[in-house]
Amino acid sequence: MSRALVVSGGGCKGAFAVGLVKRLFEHWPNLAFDMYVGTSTGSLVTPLVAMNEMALVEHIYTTETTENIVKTGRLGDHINDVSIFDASPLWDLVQANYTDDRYNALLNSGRKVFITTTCMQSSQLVVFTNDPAPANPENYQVRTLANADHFRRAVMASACQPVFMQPITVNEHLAGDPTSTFQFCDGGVKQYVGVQMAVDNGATEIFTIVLSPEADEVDNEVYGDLFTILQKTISIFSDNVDKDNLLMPKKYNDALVYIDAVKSKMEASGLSSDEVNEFFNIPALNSPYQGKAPIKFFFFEPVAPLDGGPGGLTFDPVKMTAMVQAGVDVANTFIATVNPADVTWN
Amino acid sequence: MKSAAIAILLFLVSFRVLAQDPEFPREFIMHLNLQSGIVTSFNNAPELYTGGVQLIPQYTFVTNLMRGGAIAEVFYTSKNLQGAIGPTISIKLKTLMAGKFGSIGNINLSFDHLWGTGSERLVGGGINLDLANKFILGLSLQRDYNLSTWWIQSGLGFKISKTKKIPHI
Repeated sequence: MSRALVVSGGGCKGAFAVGLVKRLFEHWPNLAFDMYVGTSTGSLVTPLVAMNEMALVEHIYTTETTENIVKTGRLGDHINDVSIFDASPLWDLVQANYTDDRYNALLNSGRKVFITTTCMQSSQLVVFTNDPAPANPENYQVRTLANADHFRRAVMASACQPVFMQPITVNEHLAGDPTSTFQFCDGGVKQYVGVQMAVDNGATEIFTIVLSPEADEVDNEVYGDLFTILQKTISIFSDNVDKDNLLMPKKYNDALVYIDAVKSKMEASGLSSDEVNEFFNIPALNSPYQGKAPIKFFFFEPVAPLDGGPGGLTFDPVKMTAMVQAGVDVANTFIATVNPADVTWN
Repeated sequence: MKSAAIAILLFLVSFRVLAQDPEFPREFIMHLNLQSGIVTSFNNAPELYTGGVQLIPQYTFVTNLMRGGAIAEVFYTSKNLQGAIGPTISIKLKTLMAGKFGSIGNINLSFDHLWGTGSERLVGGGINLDLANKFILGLSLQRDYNLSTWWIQSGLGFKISKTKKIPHI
């Protein structure tokens, strides 16, 4: 049994995930996760959850304002620059809270954290992890974190929406690294939620939190300038990536459930378990389903759109406190409706 | 009266800082300004053309509100090439915002006093439109209280000091 917590991107809407996880932990004190996968704001939330710093992450997601995340400037100065905003305040926040001590405590806890980023130079999804021996997938790169600074830079890169926030040279301080000048940004550009990473690394129970409702949001807003249109476009793009990302693991799991049902039916007809498994053992095929059991998915999303501006870049403590409560409400609904047989963590 | 003025100034300063105004940040800035206009006495005497180049280094000493520095100018008038120098201050009147994405410029007032090599003593000011922190369009009116003339000029300025880049992380 390996349990994963996966949190998508969404800027300030990460407050929803904070409220949800807080409530789950309150109700089930024995609930624990073995791996944590974060994209963008999810990469800010999940490491602190893995470090048992719930009070800190809630404080951050209910008090920080946009000015504490990005600095606005004179557009004319940034025409030839790397971004419209300066994310230095967020970098200060990351450095102050994702400390060496907390990173070392995370390493000692044995909990695995996966942080998704997009490499500007290779155009690949690159996942940074504290797992010394992570799975080696075909469709994205995985790098093991070298130290606390490397960890902080990966978290920062994952959180930085391209165009609006500067890309980060995550590997810059790694001596001799051939990718030391490579720039990394928000993993949400390539993958909004990291469910696939949890699957690839052997998770058998996955709690997935996405920060926008499955139905497309209707905001009735008229987009009257280039920049809001650009930001909205990135939001739409992220949401589409989201649906695609969820589709693949769901289809994979549907196949596992189907195979499991077929196996049960074969056993019911009188075949032994070994005989059944032999039917599914085809050495010539490198089957992704070989020896895998169906994954238990718990999927959480807001009931209604969370108000955080396009890309979730409007950090308003009042609205974020309401988002935390929205997360608590969704957690309460889950607690009230979950099948007791599915609760393996009680 | 003085304390009330100080209180109003402090209020303005604190309001502007809290509002995260990107214009007039604390920085050194330098403009190269091309001036062109007339020198007139508003009487029957002929109006003279004047044109020149100004170098204007300034430093913002009240964030989002006021910067001050000097003007060094070479100008042509009365068939002579002359020079002038003196102090200047600029006070920001309005920030031109681009929604939540920052600003695209500002409107500011400038006040200066110049001592010219031809015995000019110019005091006056102007209104300026600063676009994208790159160009300044301005209109100025100065009184030469020594030679009893008025100087009316338009200007096109270019920022020539280095633009601060987004910090590398």
